[in-house]
Amino acid sequence: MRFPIEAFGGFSAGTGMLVALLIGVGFGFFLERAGFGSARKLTAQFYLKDFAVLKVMFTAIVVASVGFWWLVALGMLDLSVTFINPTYLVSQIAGGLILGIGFAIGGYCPGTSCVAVATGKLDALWYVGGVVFGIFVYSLTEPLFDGFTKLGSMGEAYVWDWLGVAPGVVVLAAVLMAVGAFSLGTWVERRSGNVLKN
Amino acid sequence: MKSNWLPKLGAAVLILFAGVLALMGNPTYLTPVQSVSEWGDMVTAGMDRVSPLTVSEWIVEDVPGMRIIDVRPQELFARFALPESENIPFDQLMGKAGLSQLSKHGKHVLVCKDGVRASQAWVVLRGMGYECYVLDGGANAWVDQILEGNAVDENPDLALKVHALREEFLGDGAAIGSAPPPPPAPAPVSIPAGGMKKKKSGGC
Repeated sequence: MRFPIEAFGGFSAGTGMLVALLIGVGFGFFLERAGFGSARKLTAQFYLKDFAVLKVMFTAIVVASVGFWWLVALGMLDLSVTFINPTYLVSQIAGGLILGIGFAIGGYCPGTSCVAVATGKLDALWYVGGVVFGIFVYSLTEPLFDGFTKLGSMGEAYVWDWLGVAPGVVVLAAVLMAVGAFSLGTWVERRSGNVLKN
Repeated sequence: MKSNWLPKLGAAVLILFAGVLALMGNPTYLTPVQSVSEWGDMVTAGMDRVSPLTVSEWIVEDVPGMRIIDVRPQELFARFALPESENIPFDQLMGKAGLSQLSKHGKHVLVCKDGVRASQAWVVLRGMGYECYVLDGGANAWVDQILEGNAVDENPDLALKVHALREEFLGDGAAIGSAPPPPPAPAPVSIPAGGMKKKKSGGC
């Protein structure tokens, strides 16, 4: 088997959508199991009371990263047909900050708000309404931001190219950073003394 | 207090696997073609070629690491060439001197008159592990679909996009349906050896 499967004609468009749906449901299920359907749990991260968000998301990142590069190393994944988002350094940092502010104020990020809607949370319903409204307004005013959205364009940029090392070195560094961050997070949680129950 | 051996085991396994990756060095960016039938699969899936529209977008977006290699003879290249393209005639490209000008971490778009010669070059170069694509229909299709805007007739949805691209290449006043101005002068670029960034294709 070679990945990405759809690039090698292994999937029809319909099958691809079905697989995406299954992955999406699985993603939502595990977000809910991690307690991420609760705005209280999610925002506790910002008050240094509960580091579950950091732990779950960082774990997902490093597991995916190690798995991805092992597939490449085993010759099972063709990097040339893998889509990688281009980097727009300035606009993406600004976007990240806006998302972070919205996360802290609203209590959800876009994915977790959908999870919370699925479990019937009313605040999440309002939040999703806000997201849809925001997308609508942005789509109408997008030309005004045209110059800004392309600020800091770097194409497909990679940390290992910048550092001049092999990708595996950066993956190892990310794993060590994750382990360090988890230990630090757990230490802070113990000091603040209240990990929220799901 | 509950046992917390599971996260520790998980962390140890991740560190072990990441550590081995770090020791492996640079990976191969293209999986080698292992069997004859894979060539067929790749061509059937359209992985051997890109449309003139996609290439024109890559040029406008200034996709890093992308090079347009024109394999036609020098005199044809001098008469007309794609913007940003460089000329390495087929015979030269198949030799050591030509191959040494390519990068294993770059993306190459191969151009000939109609796509046939470039397809031959694609088989050789892809087999050697170079990431490359044939400009579908060659320079003829480029003139037809981009400079003359004929892709629009087949797909009205593309009208706006092609119009914007034509303006980019031909300057203002390149309205759809108007007679095409003379093709732009060839602007071959030379990229210093070793100066190429590795590049993966995006979303195509």
